Amino acid sequence: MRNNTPFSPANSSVISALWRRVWPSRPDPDKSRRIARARLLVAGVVATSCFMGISAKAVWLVSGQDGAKSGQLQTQASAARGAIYDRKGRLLASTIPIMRLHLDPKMVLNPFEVATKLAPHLPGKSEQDILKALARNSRYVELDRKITPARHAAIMGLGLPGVNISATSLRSYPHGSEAAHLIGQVDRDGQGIAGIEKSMQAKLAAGENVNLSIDLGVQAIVRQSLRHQIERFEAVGGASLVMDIKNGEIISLVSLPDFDPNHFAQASDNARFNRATKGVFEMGSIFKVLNTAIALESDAASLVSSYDVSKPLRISGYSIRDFHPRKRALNLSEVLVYSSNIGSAKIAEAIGPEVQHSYMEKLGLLNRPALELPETAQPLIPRKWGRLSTITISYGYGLSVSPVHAVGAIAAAAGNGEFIAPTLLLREPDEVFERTRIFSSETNRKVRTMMRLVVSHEDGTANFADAPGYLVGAKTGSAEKLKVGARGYNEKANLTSIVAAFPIHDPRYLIFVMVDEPKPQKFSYGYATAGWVAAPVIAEIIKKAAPVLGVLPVDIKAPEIRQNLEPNLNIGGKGAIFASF
Amino acid sequence: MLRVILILCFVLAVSGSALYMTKLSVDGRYDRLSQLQTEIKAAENRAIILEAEWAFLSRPDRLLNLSSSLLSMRPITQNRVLPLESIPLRQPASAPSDSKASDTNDRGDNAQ
Repeated sequence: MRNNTPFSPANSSVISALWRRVWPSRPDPDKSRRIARARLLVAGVVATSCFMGISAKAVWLVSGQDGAKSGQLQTQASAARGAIYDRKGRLLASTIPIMRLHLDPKMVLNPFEVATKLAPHLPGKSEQDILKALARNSRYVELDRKITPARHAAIMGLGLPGVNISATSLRSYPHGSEAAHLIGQVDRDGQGIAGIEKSMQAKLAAGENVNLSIDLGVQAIVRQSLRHQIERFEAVGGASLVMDIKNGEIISLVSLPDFDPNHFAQASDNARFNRATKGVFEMGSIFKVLNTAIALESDAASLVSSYDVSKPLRISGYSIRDFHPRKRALNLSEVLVYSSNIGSAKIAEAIGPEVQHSYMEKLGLLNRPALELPETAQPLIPRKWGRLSTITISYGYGLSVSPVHAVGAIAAAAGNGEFIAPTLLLREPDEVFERTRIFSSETNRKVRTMMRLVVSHEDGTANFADAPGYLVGAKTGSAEKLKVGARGYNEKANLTSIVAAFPIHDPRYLIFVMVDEPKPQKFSYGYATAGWVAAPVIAEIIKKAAPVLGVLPVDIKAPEIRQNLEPNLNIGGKGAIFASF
Repeated sequence: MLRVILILCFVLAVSGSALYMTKLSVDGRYDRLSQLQTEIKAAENRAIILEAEWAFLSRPDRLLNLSSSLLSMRPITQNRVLPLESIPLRQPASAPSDSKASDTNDRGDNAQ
């Protein structure tokens, strides 16, 4: 072996081996060439793979950017709050895009210039207001939430730095106060806080539309008729409901006074209060319809039952009197047609507390109604449902329910005997819903005939409710209101109500009208009872709304009317004559 | 070997250019898409505002005021409403030979 090392330590194999490692001898040229070629190859591979990596990254970036862009586009479309429509597709509430004007005081160069130029474009804001807003220590001062497209263009044309406009949305109620209580309201963030807006929050927030059972045309007729009567009788308020007896759909729901939902903040608490669903009242004599139906259904009375009403009834220290006392015995029909409290009390005694309670429960009068509104009420039930309560409830005292309770229950008694919970949502044509049979068709036939006689008989209390051709049946109720902050009833504060069904031989619609505290008027000969106050509203509503609802006038002599009404009712000592229907 | 590399480079250059051109055209199409989406959104917004305006203008109380001040129409009374079935069907033409007269009669009926 050759040793080319210049310095070679002598005689030590270990040291020489180490030295060779530190200073190796020069390799032969062939080996050096091989090593150099291998190094070149490695460097080439590394360089090529680096460039390939860069190329691959470039291709990935080109294709990856497109994906990112499409994702960005998709996020632009966010779901706006759903709209609310009536049963015929008329818009009741929708979210419209608008512009919001806001200032950034730090960016404003000349506050006086901004105030002078901006003020003419902002109705209701003076230059002083704008200067005051600009003086605030904030980067965001909102000046106006409702900028129209025309004003938007004009303000942007001013070219003022620090004056910004951004897109936002506004919940708009184009029909104003027409169905205010029903539709409800949203807060500043678009969350429902009352009415359908609140109860249907999840659906509306997901961008879905809600179709109500309300008919805006009927709603307008009912609201106008009721408001007119409230003004004529200087009443404090009123409520009205129209319900489709066949499927429980509420066609109209009015509570007066009402408010403009576009200016909810300015509405008083009294106007915001929904009397039709949230208010509970002692309904008075309209409960006699239920009393009669329960008596017939439970066999506690029949058409020939007779009740002596010549003397006031004394019970537990209370005296029960009639508004129009009669010095003789009345039959079951006469008790309802003449609206005798004494007669109703005697019928209730025959029914008994347990039976009455069970019927009231089945008719939904003892629980909060399952209506699609947050503003519903729990009825006020007597603490002890004894003999006295049974008697007072028979003519509508001692049990306070809301109008929507009363409508659901009386629809079962005056309709086809089934209790259907009232609903505000439009039902599908083939929708299956819960119906509970309470009364037989025989009971319904008798009750309906009595309700017709309340309108058509000369001694009935609802003569003014008749709308010729539409065969109206009704029952009025005038209840004294409880004194505020004291015991007992206020004789001067009445709650007048009426419940009517038409056409009575095969009722399709039930109408409830309530006028709160009407004052006696000269034109009403000093009367402020339901027959004078509430009954004419029914006639007005039916005359105007029946064509809208598609109810045709009937021929009173038609055979199906004879078949569906009871011919042998005895009123005033003589049998009812057909012509008097 | 050199030829293969040259061909490879040429193919890479052509496909790279093609990719770049495709990217440019896709960018253009995305711009168009975004423009169309903006236009659709604007049209939808206009439709929403027009629907609200239509609802506002067709308010029942406004229509009632307009109709009572501009038209001499009154609510339909019950004696003016008839079911369709109560209208008798047209009698078949009694004299088939006289076709001219029957035609005139047809037109007269339709005009009513």
